[in-house]
Amino acid sequence: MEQCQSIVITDGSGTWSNVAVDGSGSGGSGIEDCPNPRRSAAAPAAGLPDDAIVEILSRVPARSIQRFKCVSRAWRDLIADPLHRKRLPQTLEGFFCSDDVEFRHGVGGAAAPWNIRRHVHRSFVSLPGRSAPPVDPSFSYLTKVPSVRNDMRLLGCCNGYLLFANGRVSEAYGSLGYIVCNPATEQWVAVPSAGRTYPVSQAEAPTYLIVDPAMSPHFHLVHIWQNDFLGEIDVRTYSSESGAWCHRSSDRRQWQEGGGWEEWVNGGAMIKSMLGSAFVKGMQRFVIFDARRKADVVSGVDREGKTCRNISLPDECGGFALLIGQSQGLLHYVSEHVDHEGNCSQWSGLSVWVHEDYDTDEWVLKHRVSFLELFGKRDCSAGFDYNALAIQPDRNMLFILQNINRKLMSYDMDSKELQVLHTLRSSDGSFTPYVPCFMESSVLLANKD
Amino acid sequence: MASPAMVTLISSDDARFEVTEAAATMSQTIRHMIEDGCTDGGIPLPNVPARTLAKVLEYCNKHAAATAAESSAAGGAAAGSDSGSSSSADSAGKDDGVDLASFDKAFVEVDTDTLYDLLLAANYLDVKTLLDLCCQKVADMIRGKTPEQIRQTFGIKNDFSPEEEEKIRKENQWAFE
Repeated sequence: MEQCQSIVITDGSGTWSNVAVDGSGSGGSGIEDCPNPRRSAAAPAAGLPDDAIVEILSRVPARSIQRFKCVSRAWRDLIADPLHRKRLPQTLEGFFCSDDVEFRHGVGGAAAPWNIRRHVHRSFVSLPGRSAPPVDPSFSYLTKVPSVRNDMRLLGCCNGYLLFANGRVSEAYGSLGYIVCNPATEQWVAVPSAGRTYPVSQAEAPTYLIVDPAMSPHFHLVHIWQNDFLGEIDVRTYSSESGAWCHRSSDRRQWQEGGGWEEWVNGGAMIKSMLGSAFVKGMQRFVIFDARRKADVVSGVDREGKTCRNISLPDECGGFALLIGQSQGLLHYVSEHVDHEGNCSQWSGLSVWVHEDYDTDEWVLKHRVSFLELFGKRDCSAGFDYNALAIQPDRNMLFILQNINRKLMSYDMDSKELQVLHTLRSSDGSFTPYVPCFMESSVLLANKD
Repeated sequence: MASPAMVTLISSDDARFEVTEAAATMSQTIRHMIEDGCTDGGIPLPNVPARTLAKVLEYCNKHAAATAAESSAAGGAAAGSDSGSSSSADSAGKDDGVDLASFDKAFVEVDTDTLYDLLLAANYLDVKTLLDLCCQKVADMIRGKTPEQIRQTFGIKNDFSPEEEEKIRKENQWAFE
């Protein structure tokens, strides 16, 4: 079954194309066709003005809004109107994909930064049926700026804003700055480096973007640098309001009182940024390996760099952590799981857990699906046969990449339906789920020539 | 204490309401009319019937009084704790906060027609907190509903052809599951 899809591809040269595969067209264009006299004659509802309806809709989940497009023409047009879109909750549009190929050349000391060249291929894969205007995955409006590097690297996305490292990973952090950008409005701003001069990788020193445009136009960055198991940790936060970086971990009291950092410093812990992160209830959540407990736990940090109680992961025998994510306002955790009986594996597949109460370590098993159902074979391993990419923020759905044929698939936990969304050029690279935000920002710069 | 400034509001059906200026100016629309000096002989509100205006004013009176109590409590505390009464005034202020939340909750426990009338009036009179309260109430009512239930709730006619509706439904299939 071929799905309707739209894919935007860039070859990195700044050109991009948008190919609507099913040709059914989308949203927008139909509205001009009919000048719809009913729109003004029959008000959308009970005589309520459009503004009041939008005010109401801005308070319901994205899922409800998608459904309400069916109510009437007036409602459909109201929801599609670019003016109103700014105020309405949006849902997952697709993924930014980037293959960051770092190739080394030269002899001797090949790992030296001057011996590394990068080629970045960026694309955007739209989900079926989404109708928002296409984004420019080449970010040509950014890369044409002389101070913005062509090989800037996408670090993450939070509520429609993207965070880029403005430079290659292996470069000294002292010279590495950031770009915060909203692709829907093409507004952006550069952020200076956090000021560390150690050449460390993103895996060892992640930077998280925290922003909630519905609450405040300001954004925050949290940069965490750690020295594996030596218990050294350095946390720096940036606020667009103050325009400056702040050293948080130099406040030793926080280690004693804050809970989290103390565990890191005394026990040793290591961020496992490969497992993703999730912004849930004001906290940026990520997974750390707690050396003292010899177990993965979910840690968290707020925009001020304060930590909170760590959450133990579900106690699953034979479980293997794949990713964490946010869905429907709650923290989710996906693991690979194998049930053994003697030396034989009885069942192997994915488990999806949801964490509902932040004061406890209690996880609820939400769903299990076997590899047999997903891939037609029993023995599969993450990173080799497949990669778990993301969880849908508004519904019970997982995104999985099957490596052998580079098929990007969605798995619906409710209907148990598996859909192939797209075939990727390469199975390497990063996938960043993207939920747009159409609100103009007073903090990011307008990108008008 | 001097008696507070009063203004007269006239509903669409010519009922007259005498309220404090503090309560009336919770409405930005009325505030602007007062600033423009259009208060002689009362302020006409041709879009708001008496039944709804009475309800809106009940809300405004309650909130204006709470705001006044809060600022006088804060003023009392600032004036010094020698009287010994500031702590009780303080706790009274806090009680008002709880009281106000439960007042708001009960205030929108009304039938849908009344709720829409209130929403329309809050929109026209530009009473931000009341508009927020009504919109949140309606949002809580409609989240999770089907398009058909929405049509019934708001009295909307489905003007899609079956094919059109099916197409939109298909495009947003996940939202219906």
